[in-house]
Amino acid sequence: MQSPFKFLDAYKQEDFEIFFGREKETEALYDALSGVKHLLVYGQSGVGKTSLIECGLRNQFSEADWFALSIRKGENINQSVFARINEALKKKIDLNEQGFPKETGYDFGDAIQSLFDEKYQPIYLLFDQFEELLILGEREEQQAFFERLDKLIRYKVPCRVILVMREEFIGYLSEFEETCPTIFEHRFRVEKMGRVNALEVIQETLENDLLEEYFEVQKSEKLAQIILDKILDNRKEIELTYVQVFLDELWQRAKQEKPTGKPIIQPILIQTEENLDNLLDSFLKKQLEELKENYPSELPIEVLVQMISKQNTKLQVTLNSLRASLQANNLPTENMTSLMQDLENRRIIRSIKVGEQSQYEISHDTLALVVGENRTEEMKRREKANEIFGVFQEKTGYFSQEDLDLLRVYMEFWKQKPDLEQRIHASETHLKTEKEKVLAKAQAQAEKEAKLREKAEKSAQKSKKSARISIGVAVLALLVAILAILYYFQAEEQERLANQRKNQADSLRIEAEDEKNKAIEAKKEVQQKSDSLQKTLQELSEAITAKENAEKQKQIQEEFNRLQEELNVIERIPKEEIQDKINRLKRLLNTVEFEENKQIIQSKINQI
Amino acid sequence: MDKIINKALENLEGADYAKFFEEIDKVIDKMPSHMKTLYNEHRGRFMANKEDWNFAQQLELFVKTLKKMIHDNQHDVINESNFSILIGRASQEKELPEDLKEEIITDKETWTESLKQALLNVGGIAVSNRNLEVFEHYGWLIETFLLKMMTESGKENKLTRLAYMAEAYQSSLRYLCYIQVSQILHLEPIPQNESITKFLSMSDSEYLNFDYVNLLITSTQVLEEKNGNPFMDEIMDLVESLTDPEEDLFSTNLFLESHREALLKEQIMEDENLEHLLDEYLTALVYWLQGLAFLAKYKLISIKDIHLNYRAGSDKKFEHLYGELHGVYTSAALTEDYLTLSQIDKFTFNHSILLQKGESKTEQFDNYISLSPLLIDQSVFTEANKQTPEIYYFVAKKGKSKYQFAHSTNELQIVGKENKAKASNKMLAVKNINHKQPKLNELFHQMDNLFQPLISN
Repeated sequence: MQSPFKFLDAYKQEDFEIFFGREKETEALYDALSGVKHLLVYGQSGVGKTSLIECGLRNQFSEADWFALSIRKGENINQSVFARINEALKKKIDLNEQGFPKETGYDFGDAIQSLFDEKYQPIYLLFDQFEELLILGEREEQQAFFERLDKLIRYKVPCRVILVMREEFIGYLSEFEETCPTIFEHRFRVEKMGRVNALEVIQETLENDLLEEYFEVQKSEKLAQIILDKILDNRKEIELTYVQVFLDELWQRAKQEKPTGKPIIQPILIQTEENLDNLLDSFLKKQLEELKENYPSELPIEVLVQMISKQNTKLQVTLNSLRASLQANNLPTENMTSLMQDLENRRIIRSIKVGEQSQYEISHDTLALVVGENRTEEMKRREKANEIFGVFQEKTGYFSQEDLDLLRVYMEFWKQKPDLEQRIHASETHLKTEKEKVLAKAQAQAEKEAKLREKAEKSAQKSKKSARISIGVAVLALLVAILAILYYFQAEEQERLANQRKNQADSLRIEAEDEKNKAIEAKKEVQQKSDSLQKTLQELSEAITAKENAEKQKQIQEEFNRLQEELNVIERIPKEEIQDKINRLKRLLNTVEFEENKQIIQSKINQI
Repeated sequence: MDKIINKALENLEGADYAKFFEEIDKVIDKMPSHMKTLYNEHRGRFMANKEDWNFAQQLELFVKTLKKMIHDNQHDVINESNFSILIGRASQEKELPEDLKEEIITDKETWTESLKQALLNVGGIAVSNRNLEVFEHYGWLIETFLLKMMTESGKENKLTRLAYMAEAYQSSLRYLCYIQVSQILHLEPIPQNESITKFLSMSDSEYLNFDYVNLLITSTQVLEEKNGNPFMDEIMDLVESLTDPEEDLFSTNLFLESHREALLKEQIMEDENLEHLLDEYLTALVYWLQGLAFLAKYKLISIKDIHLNYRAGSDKKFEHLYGELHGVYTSAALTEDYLTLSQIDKFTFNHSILLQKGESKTEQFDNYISLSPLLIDQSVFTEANKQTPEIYYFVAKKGKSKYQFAHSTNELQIVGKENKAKASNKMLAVKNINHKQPKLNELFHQMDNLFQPLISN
């Protein structure tokens, strides 16, 4: 009889009847997905993201309304998408050797369209462990994927994309926000389960009718409470993975107690001092210990370590790649198929069929973390060595002394790498030659320096003499400076006096200029008056015509003569009278014909 | 009344026609006029000793029809148009018309060719070899189930296939009803009609069995009387054929309807007879859908939002943000989730689903009706940006503060097959206050304003 508990497996569509306590999250996830083409589902490891999607969400859609393809990164995520779609298609896409469509411009959208034309169901692309692309993907692969994704989500074929990832890697996505601007727009965080829900999950799991054939349960309420308290005591937060692992452990214990018939799960099976924190660690160690009987002692853990990333997340590997990786580290590769089968039977790893090929991965990220923590010192050093080797392989030219010092620490891991040894030897020879050259140069330099020192001593003596002379010169210069200061103050006083005088002169000059300006103004006024009279006179002369009769001329002449006389005495006449005279003269001027008379009148006017 | 009818049936079994008529005479005043006429004809023949050879069967059919009417509490909406349907329903034999029996479709894929031909003949619409293109022309509600019929689970010889076909038929009826009732809801004043009132005020347990055929007939009649120029005049011809016992469509409809009812009542089993029944049902459905090919001359449009763009000295431009409903918002690849169309001085209904005449590219919104609030796109009522439509249809009124909508993909719940309600069947409650989607508050008030006068009367 097998354990009925999920252990490290995710819940699937068919587990709906035993998928408890996640109704609200399921509904919220359905709502988040409603009306959108892509959704980012994130949360901590072990929070139940995959179960929530593959069981909770899946059952929110009927058979006819859900055709899902789970896609993992594999070698290249873009190839993996085409490969997975092609697996589902009857009429295959023509792919080239690299796994890309031969037809130019053929994209995800076209492939999905073909699939929809065959399936008539909305397509769901589930990218589980999406962080693999962000942690392990090549830059070109990542960029191409996000470009294709951005096109796909705008493509009007019923297709939804769900990216599932651990939240600690979500920041990596921001790098691609420019390529796919809506990547963060539709997202859903899977929260850890609350205490009440967790209690409900444990109790309902223990009391479920569907599991009745696998075990009997005693004091289920008390048992559920103890399990919950244990989890809370140690972790403060509830991890569903641990609930399932612990239930499975209890079932195993119950089975041991009662090898035949239905095992009885009861509170007595839980030890008071039991620490759930180490549950998976104890599980792994126990399994590894048992495997030692059939395999070289370190091989199983070595294999498992090859199946995790630097960040202790699980990786998908093929048997061939696993063998190659072990060989590269000088590790045995016999009985690998049998070992993988054993590990799978013990629920440490699971196999996945990708096309024609089988791939393996550790059952859960939580277990991958435990594997990582179980690395031996030797493994850690080897990993470090590989890391360093990777760095130095990219380095060109000779190694420095510091490089060589570092490399020598890990030389034991590089026995299989003759190229590196040659490079190290060459670098050592090069360094030796360089050192000799430097030594010779240093000796030459020392001799040169001795000569220079001698020369310097001589120069120093000369300098002392010069210093004494310099002091005399300095004293003299000081005296000169004092005298210069005295002269300077005298000059200052003289300058002050000169300025005073200059200011007086300036005042006088300003007054004179004022007088001058006034005179100019008066002159201007007289000039204006004169101009005005001149103009009037001109107008008068123009008015006089040549045809005036002689008599009038005569009268005028008489008048002129009279005025002539008057003019002679004009200076004695008051101003008003003068003006009157001028007016009369002007009138006369208008009437005279002869130019001479005009001139006389004009001169008189001017005179006045 | 039931007692009287049962007694009359007993008399009939005993071939005591005199006592049979004596009993029925007691309820003659409560009979609708058409039933009364038929009853008087029977009684006249009996009095004149001119009974037909199957007189007993005729009387039995008559009295069972009467009983069903009373049972269904529908006697108040019986009229000339639906009378033949009611009589047909009371009949024992609900078989395919002879012509169809001779042409049973057994292939699960090529039946789409018949629809393709119908689209070409009726609407002059040529479609490619892609089945999706054929389905799109029938409108969202029908298309959904035609797609399901083509899926793997839809092709298996199981009750699920029958359920998909039955819902394709039911959805088509529902769609036609929404088209007719929507027009009635826009009449001023809205005419009072018992069938429409029943439809608007049904409870959520009734919608699966609701008599959409009767609603279609009645609403078409109301439109004919009140509005001489209905939006989709092809429905009038359809209803005429549907109610004419001489037409194949009449018995096809009865066949489709009765088997759907039998499926709901668990009267159909997954046995050796099922495969033949599935073929018959497909034949009937294809014939029925051929009769609806005129739907391809119309298209559904979801209006997400309307913005007024108006400045001094400019025209009043109404910017419409919309999506054409063909499986998704549009069938072509686009850069935006919604299309935009600007109209000067003209605007349509906001947050609504429109049915527009013409299947070609939308250049103007003209010649359309709004099917909302009977048909809604939930995506336009959300605060967040949505990229695909979520179409729900009205099913029931729940109390005073809730209207219930069903998702367009909801499948027929076969009683007893699943103990619990299908998790995939989704309902949307539009309440007086909707905290998750506040825009639905506006929809609730629209519905209340529109429905309440009809419901309260």
